[in-house]
Amino acid sequence: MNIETPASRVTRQRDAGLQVIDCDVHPALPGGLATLFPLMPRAWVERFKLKSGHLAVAAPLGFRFEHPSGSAARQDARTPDGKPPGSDPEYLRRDLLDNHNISIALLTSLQAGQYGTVTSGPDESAVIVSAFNDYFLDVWPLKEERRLRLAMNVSAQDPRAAAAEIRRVGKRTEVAAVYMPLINILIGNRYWEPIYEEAVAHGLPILLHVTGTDSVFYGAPNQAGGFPENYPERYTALSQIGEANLTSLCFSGVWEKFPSLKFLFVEYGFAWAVPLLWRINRTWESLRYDVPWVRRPPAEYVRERVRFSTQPLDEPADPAHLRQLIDMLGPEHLVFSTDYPHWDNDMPGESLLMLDKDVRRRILSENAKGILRLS
Amino acid sequence: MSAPREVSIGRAEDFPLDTIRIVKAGTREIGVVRRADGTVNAVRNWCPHKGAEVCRTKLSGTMLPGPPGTLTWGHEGEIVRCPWHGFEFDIRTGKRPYSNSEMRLRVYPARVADGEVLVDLGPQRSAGGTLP
Repeated sequence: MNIETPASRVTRQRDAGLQVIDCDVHPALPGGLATLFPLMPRAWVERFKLKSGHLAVAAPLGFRFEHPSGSAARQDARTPDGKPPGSDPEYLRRDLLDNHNISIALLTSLQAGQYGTVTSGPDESAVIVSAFNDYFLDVWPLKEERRLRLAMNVSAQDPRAAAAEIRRVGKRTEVAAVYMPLINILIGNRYWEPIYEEAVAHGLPILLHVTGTDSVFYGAPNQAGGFPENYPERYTALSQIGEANLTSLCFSGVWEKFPSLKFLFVEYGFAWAVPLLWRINRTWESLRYDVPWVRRPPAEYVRERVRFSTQPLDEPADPAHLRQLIDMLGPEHLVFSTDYPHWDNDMPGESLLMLDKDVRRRILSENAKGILRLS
Repeated sequence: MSAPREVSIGRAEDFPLDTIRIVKAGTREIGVVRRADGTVNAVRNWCPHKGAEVCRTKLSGTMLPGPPGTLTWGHEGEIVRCPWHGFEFDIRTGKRPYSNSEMRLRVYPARVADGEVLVDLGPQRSAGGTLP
């Protein structure tokens, strides 16, 4: 069944022949956490049932941060039979991949991210993220549908368990990255090293993405300055978490210990990186002697080892200003992402049209090959 | 432009060893360090970053690049660290240590002859004041 939409028509006509790599697609469980029970050890299933886990769908955000429309997922992306957006691989294949020339879509489960950060305990989170990995690797048709790849899940609360999970499934060719959900420990901290060691050993980049717990739960990353009052405040300022973590990376010496380790910042935006990298470099020029393990201007490491996803694209009144910002950052830093099926997704046919054709092509399809493990 | 100008800035014994002393030379201020081996370092007392009096500080060393969590001190007596923004310069070459930056201190050739410290201020402009 063809489910062509106005947006997909634009993509197909304008970008005929262009193969898009989409670095941010969110799969979902069709029936909440209970979907995973067949993939968990019996005793853990009983534990989660005792805690009413069979009723859990996602981490509660409360009225304060619930999406104003009731869901961050697009209601028009529900399947024809009413399943949650992103929960049916066959529908996702037609609605996203076929319609928008997506040659590779990286699946990142935010549900797994929530359980992997702070909404479950350390042992619980390890069991749950393993079940998520088995679900997407074996229940979804990733073996046959090579356009779908997985950012495998790990628990942020137990880096050794996370490393073991990478050893367990990180060799699978369906895995293209490690989604490391954040807690309130910056990524330059040595706490994360067991995960970094295994990611390097498997040639996998670390993918960072907000989980939904940010600024909501104790132990999650919090935004600067105070507690946001509503969804727009929180949503707009989530980039602060990206800024704080990029700064941490730049001065921590992580890349002295793990020279080949790469990071993909997804959905934190990228416009902020332009002045931040100026400031980071300028501070390093002044105070290198305080962090002598940083041997070169930090922006040089970032150019080699960090990529930012494009969505949500900022929309200045004059689109040429965004082109200037991308010029200033360097288009080699950017990889395309839709964020399907979320309300603020960017579809490729309507994205980055102000760029020169070759620059746009590199962002839409080429740059991602330099960071994802696409074996 | 005229030939290089070598001027005396004082008696050698008035310049304590391995210590920056700021002296006036023509219209400029110069930071001068006399060494035990008889050599002399001289730089303009003007930071190319923001114009601070870069020599109003103690001669220092700096941290050598190394693994995370380790510190190794080196270049003792070779580094001027600007009191304003912390930019470091090698007083012998004017260059920034461990940086690709092209920013550098103006260095003047200097020597001791007949007990006098001589500094070569370089070509003098015929008009229009001094070089920056």
